[in-house]
Amino acid sequence: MKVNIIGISAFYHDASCCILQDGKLIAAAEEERFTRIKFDPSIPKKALNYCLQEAGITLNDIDCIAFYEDPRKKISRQIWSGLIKNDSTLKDTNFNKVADEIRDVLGYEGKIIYVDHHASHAASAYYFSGFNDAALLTVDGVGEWATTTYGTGKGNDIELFEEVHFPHSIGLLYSTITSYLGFLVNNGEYKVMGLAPYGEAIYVDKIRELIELHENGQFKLNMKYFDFVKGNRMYTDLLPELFGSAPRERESEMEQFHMDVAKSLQVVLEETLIEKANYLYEKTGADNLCMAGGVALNCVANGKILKHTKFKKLFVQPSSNDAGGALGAAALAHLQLTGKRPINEQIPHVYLGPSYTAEEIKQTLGATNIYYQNLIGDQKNLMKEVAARLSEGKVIGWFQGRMEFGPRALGARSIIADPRNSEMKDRINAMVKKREGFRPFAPAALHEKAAEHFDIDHESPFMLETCQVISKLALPAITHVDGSARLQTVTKEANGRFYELLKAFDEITDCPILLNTSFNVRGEPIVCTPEDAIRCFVDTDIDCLVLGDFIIDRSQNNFDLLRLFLQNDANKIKSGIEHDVYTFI
Amino acid sequence: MENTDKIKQQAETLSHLLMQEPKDMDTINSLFEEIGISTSLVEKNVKKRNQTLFTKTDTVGIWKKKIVNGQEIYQRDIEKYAEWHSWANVNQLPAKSYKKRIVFLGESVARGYFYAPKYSVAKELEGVLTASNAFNGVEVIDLSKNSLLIDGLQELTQSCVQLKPDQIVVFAGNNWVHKLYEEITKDDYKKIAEIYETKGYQGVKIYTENKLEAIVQNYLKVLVKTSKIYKIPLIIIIPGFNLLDWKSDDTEKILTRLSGNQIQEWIAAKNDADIALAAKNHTEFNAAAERLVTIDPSNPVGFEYLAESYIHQNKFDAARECLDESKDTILFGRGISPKPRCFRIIRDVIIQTATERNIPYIDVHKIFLEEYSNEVAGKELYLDYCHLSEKGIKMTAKYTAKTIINTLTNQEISLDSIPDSSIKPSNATAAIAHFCAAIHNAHFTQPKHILTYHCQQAVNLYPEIKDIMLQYMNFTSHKTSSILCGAFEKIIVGGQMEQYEGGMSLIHPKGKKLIDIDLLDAIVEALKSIGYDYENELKKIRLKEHGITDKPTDLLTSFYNLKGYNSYNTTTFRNYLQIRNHTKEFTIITSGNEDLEANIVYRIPTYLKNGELKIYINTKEQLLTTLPFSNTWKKHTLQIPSKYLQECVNKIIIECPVKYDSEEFLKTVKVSTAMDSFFPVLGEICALTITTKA
Repeated sequence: MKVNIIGISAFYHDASCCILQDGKLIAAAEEERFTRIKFDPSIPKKALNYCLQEAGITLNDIDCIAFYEDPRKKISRQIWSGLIKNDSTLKDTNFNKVADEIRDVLGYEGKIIYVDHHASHAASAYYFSGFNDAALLTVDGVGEWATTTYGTGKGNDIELFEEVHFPHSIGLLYSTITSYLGFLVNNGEYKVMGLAPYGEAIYVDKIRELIELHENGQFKLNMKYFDFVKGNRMYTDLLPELFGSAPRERESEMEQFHMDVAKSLQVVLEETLIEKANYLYEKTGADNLCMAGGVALNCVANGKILKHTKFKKLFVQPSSNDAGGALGAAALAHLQLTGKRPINEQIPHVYLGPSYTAEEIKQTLGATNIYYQNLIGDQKNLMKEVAARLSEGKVIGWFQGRMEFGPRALGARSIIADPRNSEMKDRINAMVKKREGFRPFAPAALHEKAAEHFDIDHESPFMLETCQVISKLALPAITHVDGSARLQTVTKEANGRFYELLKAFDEITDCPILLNTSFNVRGEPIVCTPEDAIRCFVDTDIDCLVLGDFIIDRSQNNFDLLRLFLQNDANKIKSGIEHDVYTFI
Repeated sequence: MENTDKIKQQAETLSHLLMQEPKDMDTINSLFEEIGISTSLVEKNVKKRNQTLFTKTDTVGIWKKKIVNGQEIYQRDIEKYAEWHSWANVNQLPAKSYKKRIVFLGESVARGYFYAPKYSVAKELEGVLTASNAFNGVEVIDLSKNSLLIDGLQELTQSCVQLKPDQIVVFAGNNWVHKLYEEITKDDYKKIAEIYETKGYQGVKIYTENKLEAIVQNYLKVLVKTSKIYKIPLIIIIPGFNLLDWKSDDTEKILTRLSGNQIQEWIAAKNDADIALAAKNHTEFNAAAERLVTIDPSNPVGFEYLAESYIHQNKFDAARECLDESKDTILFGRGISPKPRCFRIIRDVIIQTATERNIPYIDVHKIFLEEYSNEVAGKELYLDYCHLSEKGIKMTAKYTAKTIINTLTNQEISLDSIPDSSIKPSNATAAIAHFCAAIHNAHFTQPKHILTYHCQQAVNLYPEIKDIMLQYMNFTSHKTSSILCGAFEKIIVGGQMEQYEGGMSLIHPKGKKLIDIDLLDAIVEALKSIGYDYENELKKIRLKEHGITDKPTDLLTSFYNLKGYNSYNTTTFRNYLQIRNHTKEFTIITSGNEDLEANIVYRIPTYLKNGELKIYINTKEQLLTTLPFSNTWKKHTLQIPSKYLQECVNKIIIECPVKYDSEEFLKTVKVSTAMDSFFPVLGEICALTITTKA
């Protein structure tokens, strides 16, 4: 009998589910991909169904469900914050929602293990890093009480030896400035990171006024500037006063001031993380560092940490956000149940979601009026055709194999294009992403040729670090204003099809690089099924959709009517969480 | 607040206490006081909708005020484009002229759903009024809207005065119960549960009807006040209901929690009734139907059976009475999206208010009764539950015209003196209306003979409808979402299905696509009657898309699990299927010459002590296996030999146990919804897959 452990993250944002079978990660997916509700926080019913299906088991085969948080501790923090009040509803409020929903909504009857939020993050990094000995650093907005933790992983076990407690939080500092700069909390943080290179770090002192670094791993926020504890808004009126400027209105024009604030925030974030990582190194003496938590998605800071500390190797959990917490919770539950850590190898890839056979895709397409080219069994030609289109400047929706787990599209559900084209960034923004013009697109490159074009000497399979572009080729579509790029290196082992495509593109262009961005439109989750891909393709101006072995060219189809239907479809997409303030409940 | 370890510790203790049930509120309150976070039991701030009675606005529905050549007209607002198809297809409401202006407000029934925009109640009414020659010019401004809820109606009532009408006509009441569902709280559920224990179904009925009455009275107050302030006379049309031909579906017929061994008695009475009906033993049938009603007056089944018996005895008043009761049983919390209806309490409150205030009203139920006193009116007058047929529209419009003429001219005229309108839907329009009705009836699980009737009417009126039917057959048989299907696109391009909310009603709700077995069979039969045979083609496409293969087919997906939209899907609330009917059917499509293997993971609630699940194939004559009692998930594999299968459509029938311990049930149930409280789960399935046998 195999040991089947389900990990769940839910009720906050980025609900997800994963399955470990005998310690091997079989499947993982975010609930939003199935429900099509962006950031869906609800208990991951559909993601669970998918995981069970992928593992070939049913509910009664599960040995344990591990939940990525301790609800009791979280409730105590909410009481402390005043979010739970002694009002007339208290008596009838259900404070056992997590257990009740696991039992009642999911129908699960067996053992439930609760793992602390940051322990889940730390475990998600350590047990999937392939290291046997590592220092652990987790940084995010808030879990139960902890917002930052320091620990070690040795052999089977992890230990967190120090915590920074709410409300003092690097993640919430970042989210607060995100909100001040007119972006959505829990959504716009990475935009602030992208904005930073356009600015000058002239407000560093003001940002430093917001956070006080203390001894060891500790720091404190200057709470007179923050209002998130009450749960209504992120900052007090003193924050705009400090910067001498009113908060930026959402969607309003971006001024130099906003860029300078973003840059200053990035600088202080990096300083803080480097100082705390150095402290962690001193405490542990470990060569390896594992990081997780939402802040670990700041790939610019990650690169600096490795460069400016004595750590020799860094592993950042590719799904560092709360979705990834499910992995860590499952890993710790596996340890608890079997006495062994999960399979000790670095997570080879994150293609852990559903895939669709050529037959299934053909069946879907067969029902439509869409004209398509069928290249089943002719991969060589498929790559040749797609590469040719890319070299002609076409933007392509690329849907292949199993969907990625985590926030990055890594060549399974991607929009890809020629990075050499100077107009490509604006073109993709206009035709599909509809996002802010300042945000850079990322490159994916053949692993063996990456060093010729980027200042990097190791694999970067998860697009979690930035490096300088050193290519002789002009790569305007993926080069940020400071000459950096957020690189994904692609190997044949990790993603054979994407690798072959890069190779085919290289053969005809001498450029082993493609622009790679997530296959979705603004405000929607990344596509999951062939139908999602078709809907997204039809609803945008992407030139071509490659669905497995099938090529659909926009030029050979007229989608005017279908687009109109989709725009009037009552089954509308919505966001699952509140973005005005960090979701504490 | 001080961030001290002590406070954190107290918060930890509090969280521990809050997670215990029942909560120790004294200790919790004192701890909260100690922490100093909140020292008083304050009432939670309930956001109440701020409904000002008379707000100034420059829009009426989707139309926005505009001054053109010094005249005040109302033009469709492009900002509200997505809503356009729910309203009359009129770009501009003209300025008030010499013509008598009737504004006609209401829900889909007032629109002439299935005919609109090509033919509508408003057009018919204007036609009759014009033909009557009672006025020197008359116009009916159609302000009806599909799915208009009571709040929207109130807003429209207030804004329509901008159009300076001479008469307001309101034809609504079907969608008013939604507000009750919206307003019902957890406390109400508790209260209802208490009432049920002491006063039974009648007590619950009175409680919910009182709440609904208050909602209706609130609206009527606004309506009357508007009429009074602006001195515009008012007429109310009370919608009727298709008593004879609209049947309760499986979700509405779920089994109620009954005490003692009443549930077994009810099942026995139902079996007796079914046997008696099959044997045409009307005395036995009547007796069994009466027993059903006596044992459980909250379940529509008894009333529907009894009505059938009364009809057989030519006791039409009694039959109507029963069917009216049956219609109202959904007030008890049956169904997830039961279809609109005008409850008796709504009708009574309107009649009472109208009588007291001297407001003329037309009770559609009553006017049809006058015409159909020797039978129970059904499909001749209604296309579905409440939407009127051409005949129904014409009758309603004539009575309304008579009332308008009486009101505005102060002259009593007889109905017979009003000539018919010259308006009539074309055969194509009428055929499409019948086809839309067939689809709508099918999607809400109506009996096959009704689907056959409407499909047959459609092909008789307009044989060219064949092409549309074939396109429909094609896209509904595919697994791909209808909106992406080529055949769906062709139907929309053709424009004929404009009568079904621009064709957009053909799109299934997310995750609820149906394969419409009965409807497609009815289409094939209807087409056969005009000389086209598509039976094999339908078989072919069904087998291609849904045929069982060596890869597991998940029978819990909507194609095989659902027969209509008013159903609980496995993903609606819970991740597994809960059965609340005595039997549950799953559709399987197979060649019929291969053995099949099914895997089921099931459990039976503890209160159904030692109950078993019985699994049949195609009929209850063919038992496949009996699954033993298990109150935890249990996996079972069963074989289905090909000898029991027929080519293409087959069904797996699961029969649940019903003998439960009511006390035990009450101990385990959580009163959070009426569904959980009143309708015990009789069996649960978390996985049901089927493959061809290797």
